[in-house]
Amino acid sequence: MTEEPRAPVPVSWLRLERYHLGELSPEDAAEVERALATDPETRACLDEIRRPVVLRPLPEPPSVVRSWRGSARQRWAAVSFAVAAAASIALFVGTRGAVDHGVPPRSVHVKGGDVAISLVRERAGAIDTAPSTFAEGDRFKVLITCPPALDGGFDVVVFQDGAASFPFDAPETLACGNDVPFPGAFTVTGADPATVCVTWGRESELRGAVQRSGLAAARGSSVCATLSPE
Amino acid sequence: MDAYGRYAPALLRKARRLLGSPVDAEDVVHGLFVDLLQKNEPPPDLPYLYRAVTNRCLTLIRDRENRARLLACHEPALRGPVRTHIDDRAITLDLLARLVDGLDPAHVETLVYRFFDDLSLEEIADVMHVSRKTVQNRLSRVQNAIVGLGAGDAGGES
Repeated sequence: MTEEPRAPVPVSWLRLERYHLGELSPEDAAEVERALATDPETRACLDEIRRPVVLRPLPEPPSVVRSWRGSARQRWAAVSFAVAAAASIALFVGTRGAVDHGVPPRSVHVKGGDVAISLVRERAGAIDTAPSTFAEGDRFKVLITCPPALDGGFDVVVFQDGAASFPFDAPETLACGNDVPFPGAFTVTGADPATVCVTWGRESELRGAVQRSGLAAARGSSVCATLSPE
Repeated sequence: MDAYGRYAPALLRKARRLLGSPVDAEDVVHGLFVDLLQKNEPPPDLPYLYRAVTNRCLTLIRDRENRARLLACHEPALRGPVRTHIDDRAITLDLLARLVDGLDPAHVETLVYRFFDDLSLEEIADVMHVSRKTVQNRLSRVQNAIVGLGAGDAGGES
């Protein structure tokens, strides 16, 4: 019995991943590029690596994670939606309401399960499924994980430079699940860190309370992610 | 954790290739990063994480209940192109599942890097911190074990 790597010797997945991440030396990267130029299978592997992936949110330390067993298809759909939504971007410019300084975590436990926020950033066609920064021209999509038992509306609010703003026209009623995309996408501008939050509750009451009292009004019914300017 | 956004997609692809189950792959990768987060250690590099994910996947496969579940529901398409073969046959999850009980963990780990991840002998030696000769010896032992199993019937896809 003999081991038969098919000629040419394949570029390993690890090497291709590191090439994609820009972690190879110039010599190694050139070698990979030569293989890409001549071998369709290597190109197919790199195409696979370039396909976007949505990640399950990590808990805020030191909390303990719960296992999410959601549909992978749903998460792929969420990323596709993020890209498609690029045509209908809400520009985050408004400034209303006071800011509460206690930032809620990325995920909280509620009756029936956990609620978690994750962001997807599109920058010049490249998708980042766990962004921590923003720059001019970036477009963001909010994904919400929530248990089916959670009724009511959801809203997105951005806190920045001592003020709260709502990038979308109105709260939305969502069918809960894993990484459910909030309709629409938005940009973030300015030189200060931005805290992007999802709040939930009765739609008619969501915005008024946050406008008046900041996140203190949504204590226990909000999850947030922070973005720093580049 | 920046390492999560940077490396988790690569690790998810690797775990899916090995397990054939997107949900189990996600559990493995997410669990790894949750553990790293709680240890609050400096972020490791991709080869280290590749090894950690490999061992977590193999732990899952070694468990008989999980193994049966994975074999029943795995999606062969998640394997992607099979580029490294033995006698022109692929090492499938089915064959791997038959080998894990008869080989020691280091041999099975070597097998995964070679036939699921297409790592060269040098790359395997680097990842596992052993000599190239050791890798060669382990792969010979793997080949013998496959012969012992009658791999001609178990090889499956090509």
